[in-house]
Amino acid sequence: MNLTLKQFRAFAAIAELGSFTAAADRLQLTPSALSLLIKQLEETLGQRLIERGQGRTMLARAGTDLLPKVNDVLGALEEGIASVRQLRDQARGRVRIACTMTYGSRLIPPLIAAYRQRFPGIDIQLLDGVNDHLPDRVSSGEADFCLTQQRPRPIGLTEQPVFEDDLLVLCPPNHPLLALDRPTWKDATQYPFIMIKSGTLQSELHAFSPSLTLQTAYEVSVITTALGMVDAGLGLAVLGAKTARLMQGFDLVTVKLRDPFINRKICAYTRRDETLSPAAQGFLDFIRDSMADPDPSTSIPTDSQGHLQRQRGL
Amino acid sequence: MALSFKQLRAFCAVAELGSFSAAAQRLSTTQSALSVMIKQLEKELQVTLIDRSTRRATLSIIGADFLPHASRVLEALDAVRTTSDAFQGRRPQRVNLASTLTYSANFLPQLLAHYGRQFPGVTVRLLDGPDEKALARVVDGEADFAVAPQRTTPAQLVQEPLFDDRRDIVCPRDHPLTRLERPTWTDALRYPFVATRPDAMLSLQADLHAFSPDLTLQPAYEVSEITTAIGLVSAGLGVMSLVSRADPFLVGFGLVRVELCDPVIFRQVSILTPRSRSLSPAAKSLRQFIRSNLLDNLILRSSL
Repeated sequence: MNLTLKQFRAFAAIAELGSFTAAADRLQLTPSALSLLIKQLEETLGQRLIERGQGRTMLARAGTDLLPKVNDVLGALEEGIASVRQLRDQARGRVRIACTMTYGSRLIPPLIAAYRQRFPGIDIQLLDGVNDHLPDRVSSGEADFCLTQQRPRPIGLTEQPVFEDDLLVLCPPNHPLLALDRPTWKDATQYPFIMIKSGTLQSELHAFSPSLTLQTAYEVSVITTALGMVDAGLGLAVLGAKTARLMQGFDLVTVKLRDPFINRKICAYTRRDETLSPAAQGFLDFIRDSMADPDPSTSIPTDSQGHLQRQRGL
Repeated sequence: MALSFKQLRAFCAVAELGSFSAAAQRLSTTQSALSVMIKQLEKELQVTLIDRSTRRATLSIIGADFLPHASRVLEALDAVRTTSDAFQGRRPQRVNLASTLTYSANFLPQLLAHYGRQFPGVTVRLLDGPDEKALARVVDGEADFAVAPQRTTPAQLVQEPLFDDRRDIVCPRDHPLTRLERPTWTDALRYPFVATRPDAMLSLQADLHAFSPDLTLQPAYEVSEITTAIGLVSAGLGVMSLVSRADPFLVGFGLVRVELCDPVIFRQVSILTPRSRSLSPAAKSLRQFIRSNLLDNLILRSSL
């Protein structure tokens, strides 16, 4: 028995509108195509469903029996389509992002606020945590994607570049580095550093020159600890320019060092062979677009020649 | 919209089995045909429902959201099929309906046409014939049931009143009866009477006697069939009694009905079913149809 959706739609429209002409109009069918659909349905069911009277169209008894069942089918389908559309058009949806504390604190929250203004039905959850566990939270399915510094690609994940972030050195306002005209990393090796565990700074410097070895005064897990330590004069630390507002509240200054300029690629990692939900893809695209056209308030003014940059913490 | 139930079935199968090949096997189709159906569905909805990797097929987030909806659609579709099976079960293959000459020609044809449109799968045989034969056919089992005027009912049959049909006199258009202001049966019986079926005459006589012992039928002619009687009346040989449903017979014979009083006589038309034999679903559906559609003015009017 070949029951088709078209037949059901035709039947339900005639039942609702009480007219072949009106139903044909609604379904954008010719009256003869509509009649054919009804005829097929009647033949399949072996029952007359619709009485075509003089001027008026009425359901036959079998049609009356059938109508609620057909409407159940169409109703369930409409609900399904509506639900898919909501997700597709981001009227509804959920995004779970794993990201570092730095980005989780300074970069992503305003973007969540902006995105939710556009798509109020989207629930965006931020899974903040320690950098090196981020990809695991994607692999496990806990997060849709993670946002982190480019790294050797974790198994089962796919990488998409999202933005680049210049690396700045944080120091107290009276630090000798600030007195130099064109401070370099070589200069910075003179001073103790607060290193972030599992950070890549030392290897980035070694890649430029094996002689660039920083003095590690402390090794901490999270950036806020490092900020406090720099503020206390225990050493220098690094921070992405895009998250420089983190240091607000500390009396600190940033310096962009050269030889090398360190510019970090921040990437999103997603599960391979798995389509992101429209909400997750939408928010990821939104992050990328926002970063390409950065709000000046979130980054440090730079000097085209890479001269010493200062910004006092507020 | 080019959505189809086939696409939904394909989607649900792949979702359930986690594999295109297993789903194709279950649905007795090819993997590529299945893949095309899923792609069409995704195109219609403008989303990705299934993530395909070399090894397995998994639901996307939207796919996981859509799956319960799609399952519900297919369940509801099964309910339609069940209804349809019920139709098939209810579908009478054949009904044998016995009736009399009058009602076989003037009342049942319209009803049967109506019934046939509603139940195209049913074949109804109308066994027309003399009145007493109609009942005999039900008793014998040749007919499932009969529609016939009330009469002494054989013990094997159950009689269920259907409607009342008025019995009056039929005469030529220029007959003196037509000029009377208030014609009565007493007036009518002054003229030669053409009697039809003996049992019909017996019931008429009983009704007349119940009103007045003076009203006695003395037929000038006794014939078997109404059509013969109409011919005789048309030839000016007398008057006859006829139920109003039979009026269409008069057309072409130049005859008219004269409504009589003292008494006004109705003849009850009944459905007669076998007492011990239960009706087939087919016959039941037709009987129910006749009962309920009697009230439909359209049909009554068209037969008058």
